[in-house]
Amino acid sequence: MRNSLPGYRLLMMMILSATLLVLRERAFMQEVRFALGYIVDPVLYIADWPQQLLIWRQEHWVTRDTLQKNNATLRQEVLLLSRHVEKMAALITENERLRALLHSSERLSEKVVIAEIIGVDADPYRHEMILDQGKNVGIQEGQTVLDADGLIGQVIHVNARTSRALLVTDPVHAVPIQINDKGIRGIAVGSGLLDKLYLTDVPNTADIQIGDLLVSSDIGGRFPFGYPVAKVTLVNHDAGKPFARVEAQPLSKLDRIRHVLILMREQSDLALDVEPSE
Amino acid sequence: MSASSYSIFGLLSSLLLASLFDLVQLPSELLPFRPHFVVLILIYWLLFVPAYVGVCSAWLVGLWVDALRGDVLGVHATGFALMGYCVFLLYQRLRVFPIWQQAAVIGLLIAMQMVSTRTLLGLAGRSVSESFGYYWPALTSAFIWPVCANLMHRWRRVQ
Repeated sequence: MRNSLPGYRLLMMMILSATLLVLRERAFMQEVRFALGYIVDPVLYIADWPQQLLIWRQEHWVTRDTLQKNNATLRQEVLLLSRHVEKMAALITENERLRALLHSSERLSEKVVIAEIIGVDADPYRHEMILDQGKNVGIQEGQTVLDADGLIGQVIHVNARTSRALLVTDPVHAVPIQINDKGIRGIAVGSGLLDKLYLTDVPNTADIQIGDLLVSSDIGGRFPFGYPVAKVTLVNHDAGKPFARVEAQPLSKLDRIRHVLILMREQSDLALDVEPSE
Repeated sequence: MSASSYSIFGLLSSLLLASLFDLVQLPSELLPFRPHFVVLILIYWLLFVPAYVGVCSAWLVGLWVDALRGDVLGVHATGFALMGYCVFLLYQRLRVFPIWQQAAVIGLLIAMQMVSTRTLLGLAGRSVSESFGYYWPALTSAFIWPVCANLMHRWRRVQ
């Protein structure tokens, strides 16, 4: 009798698991997960301490020489960037005037939040990272994650003080893209490798070349338009197949980044930001 | 040390420490080989204090792992509960096995738990590896089991 008890318990637990899995999309389950986040967040922060220590050591034990060198290069970069910004200001006003003439909707101004990566998923096959900003600064599921070089992913889960982002290179991730100057549209699907994306369903006749820049497109309403995503690295036209084989490399070094930007767009904006087509 | 000495503090602290070991960032070359520390510690408690730690506790630990990994609740919990049941069926024999034989069985148990978790994760729409490399942690966990069990024995004796 006593030995049969764990059997019943197992059955009970299986039923409980099945219930949880079936009800996973319900609002109250989301709240349960969010509540669990209050216990999980501190653990995630503590797990990052060794990494913080490593960074602290790297930042503090630097010779005067390297610091001076870094300073000089940074100064040069600032100079170059500020020149770009000067030009941008003029371009933005001109662009806005032209858009007004065309009666197209105004682009939303976008606020960004800087977040630090405090962890990557323990499973090396899942390209997810944990960020140190959460609901407390208004992060929501579906918001776009960028770094200095371009779009790198989106937020998939939000806790009170941390959030989880899925990278563009994860096999379950797909981002609608457009080739910068040619206007060809496509979908870039993650490959599971940090330096590769696949472009699916590109017709054999499409004019794609190695080195073309892929920028995000707002078709689908999930991502904002115009952030660089990747550069085409391989185009293979096979006459026997309906679609060309196209590979691209993300612009950001996804295994090196430490800070990211999260684009703060309200969930309601995500669907409405699609522009009317001509 | 009595065979079933058990304190809730010992249990929770060891699981928390194991969670940290599971989360700490490693160089990407080592990542595929990281043992599943939480599972090892859970198996230790299942094995040596079966009167207190059983299927339900295993399920709860699974739920904790789900929350830590940001997964749909129930994905790891199911596999952990199944594994807990298997350990319950085996614990009397397992405890008298020589340590390496113990390690082999535990490796298999962990692999079994990984199969179930991987299946459910795939169903829940997360990406899972298709290669056998996914099961490296089962092997490394088996190798680290003797060390782990030894440390846990000491830890229990301290309390």
